[in-house]
Amino acid sequence: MGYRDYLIKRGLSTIPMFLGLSVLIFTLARVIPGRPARLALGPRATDEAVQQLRRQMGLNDPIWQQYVEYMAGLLQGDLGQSLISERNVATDLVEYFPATFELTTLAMLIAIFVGVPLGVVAGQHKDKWPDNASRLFSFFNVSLPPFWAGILLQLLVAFQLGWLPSTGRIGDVSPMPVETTGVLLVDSLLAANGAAFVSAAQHLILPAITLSLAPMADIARMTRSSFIEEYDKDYVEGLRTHGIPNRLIAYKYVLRKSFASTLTIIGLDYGFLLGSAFVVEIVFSWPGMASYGVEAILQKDMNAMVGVTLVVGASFLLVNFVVDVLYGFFDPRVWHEGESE
Amino acid sequence: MTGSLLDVHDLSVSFDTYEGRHDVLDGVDLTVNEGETVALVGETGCGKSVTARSIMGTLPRPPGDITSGEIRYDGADLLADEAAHERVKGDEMSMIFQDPMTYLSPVYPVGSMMADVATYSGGRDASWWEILKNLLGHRADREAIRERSVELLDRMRIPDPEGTLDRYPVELSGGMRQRVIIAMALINEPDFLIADEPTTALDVTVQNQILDLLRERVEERDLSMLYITHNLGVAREIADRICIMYAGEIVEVGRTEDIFDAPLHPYTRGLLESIPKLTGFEGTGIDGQIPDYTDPPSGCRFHPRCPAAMEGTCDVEPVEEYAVGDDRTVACHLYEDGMDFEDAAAIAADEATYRGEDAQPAEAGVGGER
Amino acid sequence: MSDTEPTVDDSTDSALARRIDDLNRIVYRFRQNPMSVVGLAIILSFVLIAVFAPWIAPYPSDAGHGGEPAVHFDQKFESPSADHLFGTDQAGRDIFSRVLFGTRLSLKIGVVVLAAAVSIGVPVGLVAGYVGGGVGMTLMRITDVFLSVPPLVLALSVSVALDSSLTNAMLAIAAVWWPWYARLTFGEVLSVKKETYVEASRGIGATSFRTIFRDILPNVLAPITVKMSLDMGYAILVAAALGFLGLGAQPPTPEWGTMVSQGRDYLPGQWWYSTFPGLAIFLIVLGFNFLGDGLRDMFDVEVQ
Repeated sequence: MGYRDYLIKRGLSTIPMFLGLSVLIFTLARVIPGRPARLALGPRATDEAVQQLRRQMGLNDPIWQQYVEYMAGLLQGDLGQSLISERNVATDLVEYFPATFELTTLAMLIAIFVGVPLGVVAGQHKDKWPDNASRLFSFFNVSLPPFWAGILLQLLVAFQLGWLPSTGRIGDVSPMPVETTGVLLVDSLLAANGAAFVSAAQHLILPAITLSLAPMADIARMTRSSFIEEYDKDYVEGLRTHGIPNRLIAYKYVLRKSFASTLTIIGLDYGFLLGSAFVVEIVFSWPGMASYGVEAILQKDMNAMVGVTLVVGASFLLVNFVVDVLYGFFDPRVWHEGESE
Repeated sequence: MTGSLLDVHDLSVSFDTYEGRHDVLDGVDLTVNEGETVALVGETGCGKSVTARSIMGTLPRPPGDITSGEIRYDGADLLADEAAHERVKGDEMSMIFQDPMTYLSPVYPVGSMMADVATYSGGRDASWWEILKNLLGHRADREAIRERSVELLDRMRIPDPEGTLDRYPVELSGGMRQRVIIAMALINEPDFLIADEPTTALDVTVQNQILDLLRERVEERDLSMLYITHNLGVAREIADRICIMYAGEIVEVGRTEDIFDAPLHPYTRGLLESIPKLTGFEGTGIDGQIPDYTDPPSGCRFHPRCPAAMEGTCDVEPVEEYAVGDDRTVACHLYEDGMDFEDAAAIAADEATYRGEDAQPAEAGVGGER
Repeated sequence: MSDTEPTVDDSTDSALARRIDDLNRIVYRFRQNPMSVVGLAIILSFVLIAVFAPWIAPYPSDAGHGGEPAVHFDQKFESPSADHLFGTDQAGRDIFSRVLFGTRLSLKIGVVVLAAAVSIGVPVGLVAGYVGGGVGMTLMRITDVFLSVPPLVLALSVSVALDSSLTNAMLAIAAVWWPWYARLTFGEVLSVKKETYVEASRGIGATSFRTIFRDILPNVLAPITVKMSLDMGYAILVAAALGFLGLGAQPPTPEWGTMVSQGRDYLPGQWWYSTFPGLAIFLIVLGFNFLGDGLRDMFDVEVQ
């Protein structure tokens, strides 16, 4: 099996997962006690109005028919009408997704670039103080409620020290960056708009750090344990016998192999990170998809929430596919399977 | 200069584990002269690999602990001078391992690992910048190293050496991997090679090929080699001299033909007898197992298993190495220091030495263990 | 240097003596990990606080003990003092008392959610693993689909169809949590099934029901216990997040997440309002994480 075959196989296997996911979300949203129309209109609405909305939303049709219609719409980029914005949910998502993408991606990058070296250092000094310190740090990080961590950062860095803005996505700059990708950092760079870039970056730092804490801890601990396991391997002894510098052994050989294990954790953590984004966006008034989703829940806007959940689920699947792709790169044995021995 | 390249003197190594302290090596003396191949022979677990790792400086410390002794390479005291050890490692000394399946990094093509050995061995430091460049595949004198690698693989009779450099270890058979490992060990043109049972993990048919290839390379370059094995037959094929090791002690040293002609130590005799012979002679082997290192037997470590053990002597008095004739030492109470070789051989050859004590070894064994 | 702990294979001879021996070793290993002892201490303190809250809290009525939470508008937003350790909120209620009473809710959420998740997930995993075949496949595929959405997000999408209340929040979390236990149990059953003694007990005619309860269940107990203690903290965290988003307990219930959310409206001036309830969440979650980590070392099991 070559690398390409492996990729195709992995890629194809995400399709049934996505279908299953859509069925699940759809069912959950429509079947569980299920009075979406009543909830949407509030307790004072007349029964007539509720019936009217049910008909309009197609809620009187059998569930499978609703699903098929929904999926048919999905293929054409139609996710149904949002009750709040009275626009198509797909249009809303296109508007809000880039902000969430920007935030979660940066958070994950911070988590990786701090977490991995932290794990390596801990692994190199197993059971000595750097290891214990990193362990304690990790425990603290995963135990912090993200919304509380965000508030503490706001109190300290934004309010007390006044270094960074406490909420929002960009300050009062002119000209505002023209929206091309929706990712402000990229847009302002493309437009060579320095002021906008700085402002966007300043607004991004605190929420991104808040989001990165828990995955950072997971990544550090996973890297540590796989590093220690890998460092015990015979080939490491072989390299040491040849007098190869420790740093090269650690960062070229051991880390590459153990990073494969770390990758799986990164895929998993990305899901948790998307979850935390819902509370962190609220804390920092970040105008992203998660804020939109929370608003949808509070307003009982079902189409909007199904759309948000689908996008989150699909992103998660996509990230895990990327993880598989990278895994094949870092540990070629997964696609060499069957050729050894 | 007597021409000795490696000189291990009175090396003792202990391991601390939760069971207590294991005194694994107990005063090992070992010499390898220039251009000479010495075989270190003993059962699994007798301390051969610990000896090799001490010489190569890869003994895990802790739990390992070198409690006494010195290792001199070309005059430099490796245990005292860490910098010298790092410099010598990989550059002048090199090592081949037992299991070719696990001694190559699974995530890089074999050529990459060979190139790193060629570039970085000898305790050079690598800056972050250099590591980054390395990870991106840049390296100085890349072509020269590649050429050298190809040539070495070719000499190890690897078909398609050019292509092999770009293959991952999983794509190679065990025999091919071992050839790669040998080529890698030779890439810096070392003067001294340690081979730790390099054929044990391979198929029987491949074993001989590898052994022949290794011998060719050693002769061609006039290398000195310490060849570690549990197989006296292999030792006979490759070695000029043989050191027999038992339970962390060297019990007998001599020229290969001398050892085979007239084994002096009862343990050596046992080992020789346990080699299956074409004549159909049934080897008797040696009863018992390597002793527990946390509480090694008193006196001679071999006495509980020895057919010639003398009660009151072997289980009480520690043995020393006795020189018997030229180039021959043996650590056994049957012989005295300075005894001449003919006398010693006579004692060893006399069945009475063993039979006469027939009743005793059992008692000695019981007494020794209780 | 590999540890030579006895494995499950040799569990037949002198069972009692070995059990005691195992127990000693387990306790020893637990105590070897100082963090787990700290974790246990934290959790025990929280349990004591939950039980004795009415006696410890200086103003139990502020937390709704014996009726609706009291209001004292004349005392609103007092900063932390000897009288009000954690200050007071917008209705003049003592935040310290409310945080103490919040312990009850958090522990209840953790216990209820995990009990529900385990009682759905473990049977599903047992059946899928033991029966195998098409049924098992189908069950595990469903489980996988659940696992492909982050728990918090899935819980949110469940709660869209429900009224916002603490009970519904717990329901939503339990509804998305069971698959983790199904998968864990499934994996354990598969590996236990391979062990010869299950084969043996089948051979002598044990019914499959008996096999499940006598042989398989005891073996999956350890990893499930460990996972539960690790998850307890996380379940509390998710419930607090729902509360924070206004989807869980409704004010003026003294639920920590809800309190942090309320306090957010008064930042940065009344910093204590959000800070102390959040600190309580952090400490209890930290306690469960320490404890779970210690239990993991103790039983020597791998869980995700």
